[in-house]
Amino acid sequence: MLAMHMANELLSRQVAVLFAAISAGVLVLAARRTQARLDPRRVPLMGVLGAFVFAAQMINFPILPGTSGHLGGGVLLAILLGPHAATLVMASILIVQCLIFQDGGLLALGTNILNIGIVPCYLGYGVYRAISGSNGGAAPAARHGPPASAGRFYLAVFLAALIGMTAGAALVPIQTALSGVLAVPLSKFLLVMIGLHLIIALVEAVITFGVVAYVMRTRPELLSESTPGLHAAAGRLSVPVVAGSFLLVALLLAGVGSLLASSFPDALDSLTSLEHRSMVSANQDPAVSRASELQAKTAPLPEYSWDRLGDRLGTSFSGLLGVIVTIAVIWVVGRALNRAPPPDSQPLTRDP
Amino acid sequence: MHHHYIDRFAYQDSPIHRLDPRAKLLAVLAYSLALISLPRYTLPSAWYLVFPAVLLLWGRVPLRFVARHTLLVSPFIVCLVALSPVFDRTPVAVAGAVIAGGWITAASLLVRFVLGMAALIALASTTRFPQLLKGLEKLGVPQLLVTQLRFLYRYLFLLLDEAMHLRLARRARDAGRGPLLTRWRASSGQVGVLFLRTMDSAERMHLAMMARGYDGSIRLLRPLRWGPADSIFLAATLLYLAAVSWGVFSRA
Repeated sequence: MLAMHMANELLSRQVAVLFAAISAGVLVLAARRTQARLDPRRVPLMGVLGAFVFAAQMINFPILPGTSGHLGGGVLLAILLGPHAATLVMASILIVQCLIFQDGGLLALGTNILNIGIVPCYLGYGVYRAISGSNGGAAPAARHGPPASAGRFYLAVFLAALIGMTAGAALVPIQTALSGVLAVPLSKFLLVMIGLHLIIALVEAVITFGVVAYVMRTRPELLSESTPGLHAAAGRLSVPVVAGSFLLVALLLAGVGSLLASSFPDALDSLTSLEHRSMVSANQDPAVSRASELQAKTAPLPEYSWDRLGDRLGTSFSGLLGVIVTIAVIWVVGRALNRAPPPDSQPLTRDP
Repeated sequence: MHHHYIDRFAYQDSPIHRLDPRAKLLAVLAYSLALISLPRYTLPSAWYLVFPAVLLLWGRVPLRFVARHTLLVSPFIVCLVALSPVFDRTPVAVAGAVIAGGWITAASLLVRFVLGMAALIALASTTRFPQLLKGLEKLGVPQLLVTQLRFLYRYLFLLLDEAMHLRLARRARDAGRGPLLTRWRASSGQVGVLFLRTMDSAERMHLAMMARGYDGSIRLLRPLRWGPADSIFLAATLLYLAAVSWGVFSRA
């Protein structure tokens, strides 16, 4: 849906170098693992799949009138190629975004590769494997496992996206806090990022499932070889499973919202003995950054403790209210923005 | 529809274009590093303008293009900047008046962003991407990743066109209306179709490349050659950055 690209200016030298080193190390390892395992004929395919993810982001999935999401790609790639190759492809996408489209700074590349590539791919893949019961692509032994159902496959994709993407996004406020450029309190920034990514992950999961299901229905031979568990995607998805995932996201959002409203996380801020001065939230999409800006502004509002009768109830309620207001703001801003440019002139550089 | 306009200026010719991509990459990297190393409540001095200006003007990159591209990527940082004074209320005295420190950080962030963007755009607009990749390869980036980037770049514009066609075809049929569920199914199908076409063309391409003797490495018509001009450029840039960072010019 959207990715939060870190900008150079949000990082300190030390943090930028540290995370660049971490990402470079992981990439070298991933390249070694991929080269050892992958059929050399598949190497060009990986590059082309990177271009595919780029292009697929042009196709919109309507969410509310005027607002739409699109594929992020990390989870899909991890399922199709395994975590090592998927990380390489995501890294190449981020490098091209930086070097050709100037989306995300040169020094911030390390943090972006970690947040958007490495963490979602590896963590997401681990979750996917644990839940889907399939063995990824590597071992043929997976085929002997119990056949997974469409619901189970969906659940695996959903939780992989939820955990992988949210964890990656949660690193953004932490990196900015470590850099000491952050004026927005860490906890608020963190909760806003997590809240947004709960919605993003839901969209990502549904899109990923839809795409895999389509391919499995039309050309199963393309994928079945590499990842046996995918067969399940072709099956019918039951409504309660999908409804359950929506409900889970709504509940988590309410929880995040109430944390945002309550004063609890201030403890978290005091833990990071940093001064919070200038302000930051690394977000490409104007709709969301404006929404989070507004949310950050209105967040102190629910600090009312209602009255003494039900502090917790009141806090949760105000949290839920905050989430609804946020979504409403995203909707309004998205609508206004969408009206402006004609469909064909949408800038390429927007939030891939 | 064609999207090659994104990096069309890289295919011009100028002394800047002829520099080794490694020299330019390292110079821009050093410049960005200098920018983010500035203390928080300081505005970059005007001398920081020199580096991107020289690259852009000498490299004949139209400034209007730079401005437009910077604007395209800027909405988010503008939002951040707008928030800065809200959260940072440290009083700071500027020219006799006392204002919130957030205003200074906001201005500083914005100026640094514009300068950094200008330098990055200068790099991208004076260096052909395949050459830049060759440079990355020589700088020790894993071969596999470079190969990835090569294919990504080569196929990006083709697949973007493909996606635009799909979008147009869809719009012609549903005019952006219909029940949400149906439209999601259609969108998934579109991405699915794009995926299938990608796989098919990757297959064809691979066979064609094998037939022409592809062995995993790409040879450039113009091999990279590090000349004296590159050494001079890099050394001059580093000297300039050191001078600007230590405030040699401002003291003079």
